[in-house]
Amino acid sequence: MRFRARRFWNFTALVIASLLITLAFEIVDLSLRVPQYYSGWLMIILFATLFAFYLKKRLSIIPMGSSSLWAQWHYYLGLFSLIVFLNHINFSVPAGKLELLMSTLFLLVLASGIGGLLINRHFAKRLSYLSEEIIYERIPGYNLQLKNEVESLITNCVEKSGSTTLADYYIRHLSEYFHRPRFIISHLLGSNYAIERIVAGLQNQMRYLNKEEADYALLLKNCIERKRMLDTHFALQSALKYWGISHAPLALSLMIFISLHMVLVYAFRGAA
Amino acid sequence: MLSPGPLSINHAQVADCKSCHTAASEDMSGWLHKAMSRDRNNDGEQCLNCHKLGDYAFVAHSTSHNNLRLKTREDANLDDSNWKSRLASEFHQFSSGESTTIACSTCHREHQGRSHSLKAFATEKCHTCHQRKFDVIEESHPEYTKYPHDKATSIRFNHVKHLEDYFYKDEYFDIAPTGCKNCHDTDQTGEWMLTVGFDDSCSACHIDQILGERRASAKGVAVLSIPELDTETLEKQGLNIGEWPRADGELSPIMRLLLSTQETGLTQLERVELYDLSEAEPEELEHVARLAWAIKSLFHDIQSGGTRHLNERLSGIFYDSLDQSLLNRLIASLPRDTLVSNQEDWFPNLASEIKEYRAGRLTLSSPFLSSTDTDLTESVNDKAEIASSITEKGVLSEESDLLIEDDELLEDDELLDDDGLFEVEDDLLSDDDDLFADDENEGERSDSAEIAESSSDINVIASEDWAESGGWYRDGSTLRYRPTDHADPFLKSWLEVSADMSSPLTENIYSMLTAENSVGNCMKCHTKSVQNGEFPHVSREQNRWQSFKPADKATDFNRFSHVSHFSLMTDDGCSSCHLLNMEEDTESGVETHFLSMNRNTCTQCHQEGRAPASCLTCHHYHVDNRSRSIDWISDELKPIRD
Repeated sequence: MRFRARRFWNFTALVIASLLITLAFEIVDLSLRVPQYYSGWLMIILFATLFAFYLKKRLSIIPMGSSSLWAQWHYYLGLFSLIVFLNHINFSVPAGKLELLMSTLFLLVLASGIGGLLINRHFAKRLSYLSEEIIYERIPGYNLQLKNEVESLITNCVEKSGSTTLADYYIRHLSEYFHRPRFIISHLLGSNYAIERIVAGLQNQMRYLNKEEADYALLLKNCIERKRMLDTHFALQSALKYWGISHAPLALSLMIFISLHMVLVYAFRGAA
Repeated sequence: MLSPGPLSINHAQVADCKSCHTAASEDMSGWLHKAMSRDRNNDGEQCLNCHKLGDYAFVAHSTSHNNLRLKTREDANLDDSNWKSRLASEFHQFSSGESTTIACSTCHREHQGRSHSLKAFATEKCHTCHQRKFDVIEESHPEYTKYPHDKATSIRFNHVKHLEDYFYKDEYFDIAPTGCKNCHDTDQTGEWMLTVGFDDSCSACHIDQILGERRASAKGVAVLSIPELDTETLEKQGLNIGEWPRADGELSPIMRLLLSTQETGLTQLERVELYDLSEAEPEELEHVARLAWAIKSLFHDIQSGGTRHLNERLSGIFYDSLDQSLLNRLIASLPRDTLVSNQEDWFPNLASEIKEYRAGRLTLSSPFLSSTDTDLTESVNDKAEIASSITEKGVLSEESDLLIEDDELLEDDELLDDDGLFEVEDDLLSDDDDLFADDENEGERSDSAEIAESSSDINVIASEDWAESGGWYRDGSTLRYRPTDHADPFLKSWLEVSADMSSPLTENIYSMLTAENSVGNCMKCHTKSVQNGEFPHVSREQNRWQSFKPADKATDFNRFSHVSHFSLMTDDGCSSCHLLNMEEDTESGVETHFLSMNRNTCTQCHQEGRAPASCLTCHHYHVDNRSRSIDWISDELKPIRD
């Protein structure tokens, strides 16, 4: 099945399931039962299923089906759990401190999950579109190498041209750029605005440069482009690498609070 | 930190979690234990520490299963609800299993914030339990049947006859009520319409009937009576009963009750005619003789012991269950002089006879002394002759006027029982035909009044007429009591204590007092209480003397405020909603004389989009009114300690 068609049917199924479960909880409420018990247990089952995906990735030796299928179920069950969660809290902000903390954790887990899905889908594709492949762990070394290269370039420019115009401009506007990774958010969003502003700034200095400095300015522009490549790789690969750090730990801490929540609910449930 | 949210303002006085949650007094391990336990904890009972809901707090509507069963109609399987309600009902039955308890938290959810209303309840949930489900109130709410008059009222009152007939009679027209407001008024809450008291509503027309003004038969209830005995047969059989007057009546039910503390053999004399013992068995004759002595002993003891003796005797009969106030009402200040004069007339030597009898010197088989029978009937017969000798003017001729002779009978005014003057075989006034109704009170007293006017004897007036304002009077061989007013304490008290149908003695008294033409005719208007679908009796505990009071309703499923709807009434007033039933309803057995209200009367306004139309607008869930009573408040007095 084509990806788009699959996505359409999966979302349709999600919507239908959401409507049905909402209706089911409404009927449970009408039947003088507490729907939160049922939505709560359903959420626990969903979390267990979602957590199983995490275990599956860690226990890849054990054959448990294709990862893509597991991933699909993980994504859509995660979205479905949002619907169940909203029914669980009655579509309102919880009043209790513990319940508010749990709700916040859940939303963070959900956000990190959706974010991770977007990161996996789009950033990987963008990385593949880049002209160069750079290993993430070597990016700092490349940054340092490029910085040294740029500084020697500037030094040579001053010696050869006898003018410090380009050097002054570098010190004031570009030294920080080459010092560390910059414009991470822009690179994540795929925006060139920041880079183009830097390039435009350099371009505007050309009128003040003599002929020798102008030649060095062109070399400097190439370094700026190389730095952009490094920063782009750094941003995209960092996101791909580190989004999981937030999602899994948040989910685990949520499970701990859910356990406490269950004990409190059943200990203080009253006669309902 | 662990609280799921602030409490509502209704529970603002709750200081800590322990007040409602039993787990709050335990540590974490206790919480784990409770959480793991399959049994639901008893936190619901914590609610009852403050909220008194009776013995059936966790039953639907906080009322007994029996009460619910009575309310469930046979055609309950009418289902006009939407599919959600049906599904919810099915799920409820499935998940409940055999459990029928409904916890407080089912409907009242706390920890939703200070402004949350604990009474907030989606009334669609009512259909989960109710078998008769409906969707839109104005279209499918069940039609009213016998509402609001689904049971007999305390006071029997035929609205149709009164409003259509009686009030327009010439004799009543000027004093009859002109509208519903003359007899009905709201209570303090404005919710109920109550009936004003007898004095304000009924007295003008009915007081005369109670006092027996136009009554042809005896106006007083027989209390202490001497039965007519066949003394000749007893004498022939050698049974000595001492003096015995020629009486003209039979033992009154109250007399039988008073004699029940002695060995009278009354139970063996059920089929014996006391006035004709010619065919009685020797054993029965002996019982009759014992009965006679028991009667004389009773009179002796009352006269010698006073009302204290009567109190003790009555107290013993009713197993010391009567308080002093009730005992006094049962005796109604029986005057000593009346007893003394009666005793002198009936049993002149009562004291000596009883003394001898109790000492064993005078027994049933003792030889007879000279007859000293006080012949009341002789004087009665004489008076009958006198009646025939009454002149056209109604004056006794001198020859026949007993009152002119020097006779012992004349020494005491009370002995002049003028009833004897008219006691002929065919008593035209013995039935209930009110021959003198048109003449009001004048006709009954015409003869004796004329005699009094024309005679110099001031004691000619009949004792019954003399006691027109009520009280004790003598009628032949019977001491009677005539009601003094509506709600006469004597009659009322005897009705209440005799309501115990388990005793034939009390049953006789009750029957006497509740017969169709009984003295006072209390049951003409006062009904019997209803319990468990039966009609038992008016007991001390169930006072049906009063018209409806809201406190009488132990359970109330409905909620309606009259005062809120006054502004909606048309020019027809109360008839805007309450229509007279001109056809007699003989099927229901409930005399209401009003047609049932229609659902449309209410749903004209109470429908979706207009006036409130939820179930709780017109119905209570907690139907036990006792929970709203002050009785539940703990007010035990405690000494002030330093």
